[in-house]
Amino acid sequence: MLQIRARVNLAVTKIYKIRPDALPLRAELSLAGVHCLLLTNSAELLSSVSRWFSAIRYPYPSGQPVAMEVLVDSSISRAPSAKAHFRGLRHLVFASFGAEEVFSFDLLRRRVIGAVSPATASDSSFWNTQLLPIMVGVMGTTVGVVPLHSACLDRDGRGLLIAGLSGAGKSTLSVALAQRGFSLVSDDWTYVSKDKERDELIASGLSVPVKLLPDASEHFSELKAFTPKVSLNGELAFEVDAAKVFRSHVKCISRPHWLMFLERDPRPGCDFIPYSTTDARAFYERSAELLPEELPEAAANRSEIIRTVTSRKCFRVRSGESPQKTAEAIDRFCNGA
Amino acid sequence: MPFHDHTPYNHPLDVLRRFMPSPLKALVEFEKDLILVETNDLSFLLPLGRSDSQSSTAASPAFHWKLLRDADASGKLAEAAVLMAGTLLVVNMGPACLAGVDMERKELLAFIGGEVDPQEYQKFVFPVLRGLTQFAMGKESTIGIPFPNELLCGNTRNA
Repeated sequence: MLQIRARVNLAVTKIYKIRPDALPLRAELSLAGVHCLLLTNSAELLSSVSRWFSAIRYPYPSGQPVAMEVLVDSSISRAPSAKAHFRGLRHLVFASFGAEEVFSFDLLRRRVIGAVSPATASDSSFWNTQLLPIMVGVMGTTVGVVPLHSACLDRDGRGLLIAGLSGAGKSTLSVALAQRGFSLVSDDWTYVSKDKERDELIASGLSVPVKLLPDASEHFSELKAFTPKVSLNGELAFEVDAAKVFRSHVKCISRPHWLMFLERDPRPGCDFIPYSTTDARAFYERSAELLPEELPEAAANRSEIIRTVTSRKCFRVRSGESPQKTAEAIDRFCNGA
Repeated sequence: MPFHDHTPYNHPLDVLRRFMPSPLKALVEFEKDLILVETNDLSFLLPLGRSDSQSSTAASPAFHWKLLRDADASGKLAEAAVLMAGTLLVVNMGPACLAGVDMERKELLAFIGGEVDPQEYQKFVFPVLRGLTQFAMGKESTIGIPFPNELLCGNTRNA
């Protein structure tokens, strides 16, 4: 690693060069089906991400890992209140956290590079709730792991994916379902991949905190002890550990079985209306992030995963009821389906 | 004609702003080579020399710059931190300037915030982009960011 400083009127310019021999520590991480080979020079960083050390839970959809090279340098300062800033052009995505900490995600070469301060290296919350979920979201599609904006619950190995527009109430419903005995896989983003050996879909979560909007405290008294905070996307929300706060059972993976599209309805009651595969597919395709033309294979893989997911039993759930009553109706429906 | 449009870009499926329009295209001379610049801000073209129209049509560009004025990125320029790894160079000057160079593909991609005026761009951002491009094109063996005076070197400090 070489650091050069050039002094100018504006400020100092720092140049950090990452060479493989400057990053002697290595670990294999398993993140929602993404196989990540992490190289760094910081034992503290390895400790921060140790919960993801590869305990190969299921086959990776792609034999190719994402290479992640993170240089930790004591000359880098952490900006404590800096907001994450993301931009992307073509195959490159940039993420900066303040003026000194930066990551680049190369979607063509499946490679992530970054430089951070020792304070950030030691901050397990940063890695587990921000950077690594971002990495899976940005890189996943390139290795066959497709992020779907859906919650995922599991009952007896059968997965229930809950889609819906932002604000439809996916997270509050997920918590209410978890309180009725469903296992919580994800409340917001579910990562879907194909287990090629068994020709089955796998839905994975990242065990990140559930994010509930402030009005969720009307439905869950457990939240009264917490204060909403500004989350990564700028929304004011509670971010809590569902296992601790709601005593929910949390699982890492499930197999998609039902697919429900949640809609709020001003009228009381909760209806289940069959939803066509075509409409379900169109919903996911319409809400998927635009991908650059440099990644035609990733776009095709994503469409194939969406096509397979939406071939499951799909329903529109129109509910004018509380999350608890809606969860009760879904529980009954799943038991009978 | 205004140099650029300050209208915020807001596409719900493009939160990374990959598809922000860049309608201006110019083939310009750069250190005796031609580079193709694609941008949404005319002022980014000012420090670059114009190419001769005949040679432009005959030669293909040696490098491609895509420079986007990012009205939503607020804040002033911060000190530049350059990260090099393999064939990739990344520059972070805070949200006001975030750029990357893919040396293999001969591409420079950059977002420049709304508060960076044309003078600041010419004085602080353009020299960085030029230095990175010279390095990427093999014209310099080190990143020769042409800042005046001193170049303090060497400190190796691992975590």
